[in-house]
Amino acid sequence: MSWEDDLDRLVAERGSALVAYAYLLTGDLSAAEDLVQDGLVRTFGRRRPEDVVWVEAYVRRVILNTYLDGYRARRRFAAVTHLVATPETAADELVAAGDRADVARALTALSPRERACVVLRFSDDLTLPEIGRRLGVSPGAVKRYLSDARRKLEPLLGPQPGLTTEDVPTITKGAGR
Amino acid sequence: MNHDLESALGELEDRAERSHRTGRAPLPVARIAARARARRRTRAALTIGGAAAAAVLVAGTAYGLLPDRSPAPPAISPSPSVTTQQPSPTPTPTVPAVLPAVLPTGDPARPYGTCGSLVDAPVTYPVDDRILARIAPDSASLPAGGHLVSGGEVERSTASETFVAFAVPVGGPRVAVVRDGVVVGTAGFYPATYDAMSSRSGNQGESTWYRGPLDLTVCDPGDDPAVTVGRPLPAGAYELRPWADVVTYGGADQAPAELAGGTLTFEQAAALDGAERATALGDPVSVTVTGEADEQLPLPGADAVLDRTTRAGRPACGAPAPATPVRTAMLDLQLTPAATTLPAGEALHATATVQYTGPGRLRAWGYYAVEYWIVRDGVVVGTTVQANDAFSVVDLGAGAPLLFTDEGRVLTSCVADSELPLTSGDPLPPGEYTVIPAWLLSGPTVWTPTETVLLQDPASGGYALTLGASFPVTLT
Repeated sequence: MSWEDDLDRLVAERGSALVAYAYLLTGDLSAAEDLVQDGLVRTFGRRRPEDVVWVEAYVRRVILNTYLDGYRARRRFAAVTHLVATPETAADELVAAGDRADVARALTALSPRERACVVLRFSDDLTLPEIGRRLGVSPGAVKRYLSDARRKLEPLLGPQPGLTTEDVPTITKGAGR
Repeated sequence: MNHDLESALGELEDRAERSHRTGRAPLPVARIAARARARRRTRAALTIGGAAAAAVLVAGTAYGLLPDRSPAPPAISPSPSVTTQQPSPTPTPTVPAVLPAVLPTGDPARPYGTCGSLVDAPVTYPVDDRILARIAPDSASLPAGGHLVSGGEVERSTASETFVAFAVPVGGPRVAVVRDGVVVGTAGFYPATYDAMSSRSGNQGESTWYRGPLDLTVCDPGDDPAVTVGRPLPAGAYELRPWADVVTYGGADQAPAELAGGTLTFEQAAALDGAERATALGDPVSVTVTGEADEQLPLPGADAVLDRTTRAGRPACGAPAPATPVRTAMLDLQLTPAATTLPAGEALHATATVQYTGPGRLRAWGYYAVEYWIVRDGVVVGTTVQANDAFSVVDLGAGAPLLFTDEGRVLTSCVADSELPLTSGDPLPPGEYTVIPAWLLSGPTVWTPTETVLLQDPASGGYALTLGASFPVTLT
């Protein structure tokens, strides 16, 4: 099976799930689609994508890093933001229509790194050290990001014990998505 | 008001998935595959600096597994061993054309990398192998009195598993030129007196790839009047050892903000909280000097007058085509297409060079490829430019071109809803076109020993581009 076949299958079977994951980061469905496309191009643009065993997990990592890269690019290079595909924050019909609109809007108050930490904590079910390794920052920095996220979110959403940064076994979740 | 964030995020994710599946167009898998295919070809073919293969330059621990569309420095081929020194040619029995050069003798008391030090002298600060200095000459030999065109960098080692925030010299690596175990020359892309540091926190756009001509001349040990300081190094085999004084900031996930702007000296950077001085080293490279010369040739561009005003306007989709070529920031783009008649939808292949032709050094953020604007009947109808947030810094000296080999790009139509036209992704139909090659950059800044000049047009929206000569293309 060629890498093109693998790409076809992944997009057909998991494309919408990947977009949903990217949506948690971007808060905008169009930006999420762009982010997934970039992540897939980066993944399958490798000369040996077949070396990637867990393709979906790898693409999710690439999506996360592409999202943060885009943020860093904008921060370091604000002059060219008109070429950057992912906006800082955006609301869309998905937010406006849902009863989770307040949560989605609250997430826009977070910086990209804070938002990434929250997503990795709750959606990827990672511990602080795992988040740190994924983002390339120290566990202390992750604590700071989560603490800052909690400080911003609690006035909007109420107490968030899940964002307590005392240590951190993984969060028990229901059936995995 | 109380929201369980975990379940809320789960619901949002589920809803987004449903919304995408039922209410949105499917992901364009054919276009994704085409982009991935082009990227695979580009990654296989891209070289900058004349080396045979490209290595991905990765900045930041978390991004170590990621491909990157930043300009990629060439991989450094294994250097031939230089443990056996080549004897210098025996002077001819006739009166020599030039007086013999006198090299510094070794002094064990001198610190590593300085003129007259021994190759195994202890480093001033501890070696930190998380950070590497690299040097990548275009050729393995040069005539005496000439310049060694080379690439180089001081960046985090891609082999290192641990993240570190650090500061590196803005001027790039220093190069100790070693013969018979003694440093007889010191070289670099900037003068050794240029003391400024810039931060490395794993952020995109920080990494810097240097290109420039290196002077291989006899260095000044300061205490030996017999040494022929400044004379071209005589014929023989030499070893180039890259190194740099760096500063690390252990435990920090970002280098201190004070380093932004590149205005702190090494000592100032080393005085910031958490700072530790360190030495970055790299693999040695062998070069051979041939012949003899009395005087070192002046650096390319040394006599050039800085052109502060020539700038290409940005082509707009549907607008009249610009005149070409235009050497923005004194950058000369030369491109040679492999073929100018090709089927519509197939990639136009070409090799290209971008060369700074002015005085001092030019530093800019640059993108990895030469782009095209496509013109029909005098109007811009297409481009290859994609939305792209991947870039890094290139720091160029005159006479040291960036080389883009076997660039393959499909000529596509453009979309007009962006200030800078972007590709629609749709191949242009068959027909006769005029193609304008361009290299995109931002923030071009020229450094000379007396001034620093920003050449960016304030009204440009951040982008500059230099345009090569246009050429006709027939799509069949």
